[in-house]
Amino acid sequence: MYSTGRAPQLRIGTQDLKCKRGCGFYGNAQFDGLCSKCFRERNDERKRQKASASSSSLVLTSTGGTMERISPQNLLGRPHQKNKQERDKQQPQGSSDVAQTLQKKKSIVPTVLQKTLQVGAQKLTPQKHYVPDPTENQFMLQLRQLGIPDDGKRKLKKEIQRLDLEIKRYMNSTANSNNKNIDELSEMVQNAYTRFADLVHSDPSFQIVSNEDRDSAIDFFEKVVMTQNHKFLFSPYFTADEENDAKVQKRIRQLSWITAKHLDCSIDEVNAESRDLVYNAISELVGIDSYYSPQEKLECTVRCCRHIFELLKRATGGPASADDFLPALIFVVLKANPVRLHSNLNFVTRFTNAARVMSGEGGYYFTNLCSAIAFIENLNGESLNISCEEFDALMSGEKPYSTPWESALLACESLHLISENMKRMELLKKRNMVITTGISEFERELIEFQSEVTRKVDTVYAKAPLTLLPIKTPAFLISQARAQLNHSSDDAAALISSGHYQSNLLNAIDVKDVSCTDKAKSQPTLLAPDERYADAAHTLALKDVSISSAGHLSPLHTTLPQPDQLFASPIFNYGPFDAVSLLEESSDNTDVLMLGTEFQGGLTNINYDFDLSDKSGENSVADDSNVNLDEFDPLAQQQEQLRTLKVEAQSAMTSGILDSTTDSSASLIDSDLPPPTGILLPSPLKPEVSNYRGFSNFDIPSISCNTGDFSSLGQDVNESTSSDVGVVAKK
Amino acid sequence: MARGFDHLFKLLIIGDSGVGKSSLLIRYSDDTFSGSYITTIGVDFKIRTVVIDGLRVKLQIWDTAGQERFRTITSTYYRGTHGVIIVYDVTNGDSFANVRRWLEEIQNNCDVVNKVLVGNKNDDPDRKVVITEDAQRFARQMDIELYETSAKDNINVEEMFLSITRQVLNHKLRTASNEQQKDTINLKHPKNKRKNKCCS
Repeated sequence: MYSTGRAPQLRIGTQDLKCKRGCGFYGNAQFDGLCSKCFRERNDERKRQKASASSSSLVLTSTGGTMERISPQNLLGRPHQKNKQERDKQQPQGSSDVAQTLQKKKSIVPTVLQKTLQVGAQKLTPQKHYVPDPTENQFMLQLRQLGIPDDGKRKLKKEIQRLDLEIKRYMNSTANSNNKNIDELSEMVQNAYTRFADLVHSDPSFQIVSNEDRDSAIDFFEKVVMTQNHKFLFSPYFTADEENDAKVQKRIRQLSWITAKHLDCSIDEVNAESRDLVYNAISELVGIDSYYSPQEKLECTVRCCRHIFELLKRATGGPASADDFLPALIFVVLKANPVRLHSNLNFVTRFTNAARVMSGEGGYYFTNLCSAIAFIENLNGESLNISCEEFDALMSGEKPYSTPWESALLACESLHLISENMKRMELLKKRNMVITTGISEFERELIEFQSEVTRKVDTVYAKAPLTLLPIKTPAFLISQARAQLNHSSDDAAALISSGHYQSNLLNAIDVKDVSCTDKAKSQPTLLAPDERYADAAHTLALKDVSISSAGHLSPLHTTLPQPDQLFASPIFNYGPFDAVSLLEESSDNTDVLMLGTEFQGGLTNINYDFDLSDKSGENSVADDSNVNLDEFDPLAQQQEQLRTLKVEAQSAMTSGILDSTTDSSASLIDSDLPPPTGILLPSPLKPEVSNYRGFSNFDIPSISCNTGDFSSLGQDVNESTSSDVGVVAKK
Repeated sequence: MARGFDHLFKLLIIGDSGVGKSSLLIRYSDDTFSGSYITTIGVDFKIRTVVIDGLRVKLQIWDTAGQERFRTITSTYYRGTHGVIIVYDVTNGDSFANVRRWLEEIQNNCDVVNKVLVGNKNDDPDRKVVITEDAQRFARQMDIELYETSAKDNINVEEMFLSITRQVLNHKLRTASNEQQKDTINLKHPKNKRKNKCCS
C-alpha cells in the first residue's frame, strides 16, 4: 500500500500500533490499543459477566444482530476510507480499521445498551451533564400526558437523552470532521427508532400499555429528538442539501411559464374556487419548512395533498386518480416554489421513522411529493408535450409567455379588491338591514304607542265622558231670535220692495257669488259708487292699496269690526239652518265643538282668498271660484252696510232697513257687547287699520285679532253661533 | 399483537395510463363485499383489511400515475413495497407490450417483490385485442400469475387482490420461518430493504 511505504517516517513504531492482544491487526487508542475485533470480544465478555442474569441466547441474538447490521455499513464506509487514507498519512493501514470501528462502535453501543435495558434499565448510568431547556420543558409536559406508566416514561426519557447525546457527539466529534456521512447519521437514528420500538413492544414496563399509547410513545420519542436536534440534522453542512435547494428553486423559477395545460392536469387556473384550494395547498406546502419534526412536516404534506384531492374532486366531478393527482401536485409545487425543498425532503427521508415514509397516507403523499420534485428536476420538452426548441426558448426566457395563473394572479389583485369591496358592501347591507328593521320596528312601536294612547284616551273618555251640558240660552234670547227672524224676513221683503236699487244690489250679490265678472258687467254703475264709498270709508286705512275688487277685500275688512259678521262666514256653512234650529241643535249636540274648527277653516279660506287677491290684484273667474260662497255672503251684509253708509251719507233712502240692521246686530250681541252695532257702524275703520297692516303680510293676525276679539267677547261659541245665526236669519 | 392487523402490506398498482388502475382500486376498496376496509382516504391511497387463514392483513394500496412522462420517477414508489400489481388493458395492445418494460422497472427497483399481471377491461369480447392465450403464455414465461378482470363489471377483482395478498403473505411467512430469530428478522428485514432502495 502507498501508506505503508511511508511508515518509517512515523514517530510511533509500527509495533505500537498493533493490537495489544497480538492478533496481528492494528490497534486503536480508542479501543484501549486493541483492534476492533478484539475490543468487541473483550467488551462482550465483560457484558456477559455483568449481565449474568440474562439468558445467553439473548446475548447471542444481539451479537448476531450487530454483526448483520454492520455489514452494510462497511459497504457504505469504503468510499470514504480511501479518501481518509490519502489524507491521514499518520495512521496508515489502521485508518480503515478506524473508520470501521467507529461505525461499529455506534452500532455496538446501542445494541449493548438495548440489551442492558431489556435486563434492567436502572443499571444505565444517567447522563449527568444534561441540562434541560425551555422547549424541553414543553416536552416534559407532554411526556407526563402520555398514557404509559412512569417506569416506561423513565425509559423513554433515557432513550431520548441517549439518542440526543449520540447525535450531538457525532456532530461535535472532531475525529472524523472531514468524513461525516449523513447516511451514517441517518442509520444511527433509524437504529435508535427500531430499538425503541422494540423496547416499547417487548419491555415489561410497557406490557399494560395500549397499542395507541405505544405508538404515541414512539412518535413522541421521534418528535423530541428531532426537534431538539433539528439544527444539527436539518441540512447539515457536510451535505449538498443547500446547493440542491438553490438549484431547485432556480429551476422552478425558470419554469414559471408552465401552465396546467402543459401538465394535463384538470386545475382550472382562473376559477376562483379552485384557486382558493390551490392557495390552501400552496400554503400547506410552504408551511412544511416551518415545522421541526418530520411528523409535522409529513402532516403538512398530507394536508396539502388533501386540498389537491378536494380540488380534483370538484374539477372532475368524481374520485380522482393518481393520473390526475401527480400532475396537480407538480403544478402546486411549481407555483408554490417552497423554500429549502430538498433539505426538508431529505430531513424527512433520513430522520423520520422509516416505516412512516414507506407506508400510510403520509408516506404515499410524501412519495408523490418526492416524485413531483424529481419530475421537476428532470423535466424536458418531451414530458410537457412541447418541442425541445420551444422548451429551451421558454426556459431561457427568450420566448415571452403568459400563463393563466399569472394573469389570474394579476387579475386577482383587482378581483381581490372587488371581493373585498363586495364583502364590505355586504357588511354595509347587513347594517342597513339592521337599521331598516330598526326603523320599521320603531315605526311599528310608534304606531302602537299612538294607538295605545288613543285607546287609553278612549277608555278614559269612555270612563269619564265629556258631557257638554246643554247651553242655557236665556229664554228671552230665543224669543228675541225668533222675533228677529220674523223681523228680518220682513226686512227682506221690505228690501225687495224698497226699490229697484236695493233689489238690484241684492241680485248683484247673488250674481257675484257666482262670478265677479258678471257683477262687474251687470252692475258697473252700481258698483262704482259702492267702491267709491268703500274707498271713502277706508281711505284712512287703505291709502296706498288699490282695492281692485271690493268683493274680495271689502267684505271682511268692513265686517271685521263687527263680530257677528265675522263669525258669520263660518257659520254660513250652515247657511240653510235657521237660527232656531241651529240653536236647538247646538244646545243638545256635542258637535258644537266642531263649529270652532269649521270656523277656523272658514277663516283660513278667507285668508287664502286675500292672498290671491293681493297678488293678482284683479278679479277673475278663477279667483272667484276659489272663493267660498259663504265668504261672500258677508258681502251681502257689507253691501248692506255700505249701502247703509251711503244712505247715511246721502240721507238714507229708507231708514227701515238701517234700523233693521242695527236692530238685528244689537239684538244678537247685546247679551255682552255693550255697544250696539248701530252706533259702531263707523267704528269698523279703527280695527281696520291694524288689521290691514297685518293683512299686507299676514292675514292670520287679523284673524287672531278677531278671534281674540271673539274670545274677548267672553262668550261661548254657542253664543257667537247664535249671533251668527242671527245674521243668517237676517239674510 | 392486538393492533387491528397482523400484517401490513404495501401494494403498488402500476401500468400504462388509462388501463384502469384507479378503477380497480376504487372497485376493490369501495366494494361492499367484505366491508372490512378501515379507511378510505381519497382514492389513490386505500386501506383495506382482509382476513386470510385467520390472519388479519392490512393492505395499503398505492396508485401511481401511469403517464409515460412519469415513468422515470415511479421508482420512488417502490420503497418498501411488498407486492406489485401490473395492469394492462386487454383492449389496448400497446399497454400489454409495455408490461415488459414495467417488469424491468420492478426488477431494477425492488429486490424481491411478488407480482401479479392483470388484464383489465375484460368485459367486452368484441373489443378485446390481447388474447388470453398470449397473455397466459407470457405470464408463464415470466412466472407471474395472470388475472383478467373487469373493474366495470366487477369480474375477478376480489380474486386478483386476494391472490397477490396471499402471495405476499406466504412470502413473508416463508422468509420468517427461514430465520431462526423472529426478532432479529424484524430488525433486519426492513433495513435491508431500505438499503437496497437507497442504492438503486
